[in-house]
Amino acid sequence: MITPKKSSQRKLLALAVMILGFLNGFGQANTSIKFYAHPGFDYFNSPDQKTSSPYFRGGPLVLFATSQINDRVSVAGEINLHYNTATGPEIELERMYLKYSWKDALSFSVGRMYSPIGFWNSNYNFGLVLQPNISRPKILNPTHDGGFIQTRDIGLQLEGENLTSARFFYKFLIGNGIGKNGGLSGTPYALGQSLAYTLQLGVEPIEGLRLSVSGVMNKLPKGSATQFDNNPVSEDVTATVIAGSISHMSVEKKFEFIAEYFRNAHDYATIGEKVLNGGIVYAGYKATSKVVPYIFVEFLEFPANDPYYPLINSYTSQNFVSSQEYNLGLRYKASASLVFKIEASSVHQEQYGWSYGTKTQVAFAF
Amino acid sequence: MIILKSIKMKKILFIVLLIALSTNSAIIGNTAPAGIELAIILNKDNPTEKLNPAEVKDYWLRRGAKKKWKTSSALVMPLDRKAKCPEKELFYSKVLTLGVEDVEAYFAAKQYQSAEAPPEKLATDKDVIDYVSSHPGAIGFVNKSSLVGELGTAVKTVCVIAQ
Repeated sequence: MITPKKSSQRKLLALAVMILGFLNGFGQANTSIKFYAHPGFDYFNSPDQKTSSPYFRGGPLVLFATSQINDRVSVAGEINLHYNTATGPEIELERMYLKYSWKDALSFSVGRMYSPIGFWNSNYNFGLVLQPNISRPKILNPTHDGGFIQTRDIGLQLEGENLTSARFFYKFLIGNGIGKNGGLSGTPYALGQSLAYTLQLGVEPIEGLRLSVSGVMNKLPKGSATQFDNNPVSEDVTATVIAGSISHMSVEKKFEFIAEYFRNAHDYATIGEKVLNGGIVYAGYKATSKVVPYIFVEFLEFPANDPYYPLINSYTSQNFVSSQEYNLGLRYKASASLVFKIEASSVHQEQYGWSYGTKTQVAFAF
Repeated sequence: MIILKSIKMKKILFIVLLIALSTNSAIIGNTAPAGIELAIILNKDNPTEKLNPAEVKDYWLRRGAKKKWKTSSALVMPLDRKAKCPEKELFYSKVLTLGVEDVEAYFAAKQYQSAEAPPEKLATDKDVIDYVSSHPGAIGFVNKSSLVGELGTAVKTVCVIAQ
């Protein structure tokens, strides 16, 4: 028997094959197909819960294909193959878009792409060989994994860069929004009734130093489906995200820095505004071209009684709780395609207390 | 006395080790081969006549506004060499001042972030000259001594890097 989930996966697989065929069909010498993977091992001790957890992480296998079709048109596709312990093998389409670069001041992208909020979300995600630390910030967990803010969307994006001597840049994305996050497999009757708007404005005054602010506006009428399928919104909600970001990541500079703040608000007609705050700070120093010690700190601050979030997150089987995490890490770049990372980690979760442990990761591309 | 000297030596060794660790060891720089001259070449239809090494670096890395040629609006297409060779060593050390791994990581990030293609990697100077002569936006580096006869007139040299 073919279940709807399996049928959906087969459609995605067929889509993946079509993308590859599509890229191959152009016969471009510069069509590139890369795979990313990042297995690891964690060991955590939770004195408050009196548990200790050794755990191997397999991680996904991510296929990333790009092609420069001509001087103005490029395409990209990213497919995530992973194993879900509850439902078995899964395939997810992370990105698939076509970009038309008209001039510096204006390019168009259409398809499924990362939302332009902050620096981290647009730059790392599944290419963990490129990401400076081990774990994706919790505030940027994808909604299809029980995350909180929409990190990618299907729509049309207008962008411009290198404007004026301050190298001003902007991105404006009109997308389906969180109410339509089902995307390709979404059921039409459950979709939201309005589109979402995301705007990012920023400058890059010197190479590698980027400052930006981003905002998302997404109206969710009563009954709209969200990432938590069994928990449609109980009344009209205006969902907004405001993000501020400062980053200094340059191939030539020894000091690396990323600081980002996210304010994810749900404004209800009757109960008012409920705000989830999240933030990250990363700082690293290239002691050599291969060795980078770093710190990575993040926090999540949940509002009380926001009906948007179900009592238990069905993706993680845990409550939605505020948390803080402190990591002291070391990154070793054996080559551009092979990176080892190790972190000493302290995690505090409301209701669960403190956990202490070690995380390791081998991130590679081939 | 001998012990004191030994402690001092250990301190010196430790400082030397720290300095060695803090320098960018992957940069090929300072080991570039002597006795060759590098020619930075463009397509003959590219109106750009002259570039300084800093401009070559920005165009080759496709940084900032240097993704397109100002004078022709063609897309900048940097060319690299497949294997380690004296020309590549000189280009990386004198022009890019970056290591091979750094450059690969740089282009891998650009590709993941914005679908930009990394440089095409070619085997020989002749391959580079042939590619540049048939692609308006291409920029490559070759041994200046390779630019003789037909190969010498197929492209234009906009910068020469000497030891």
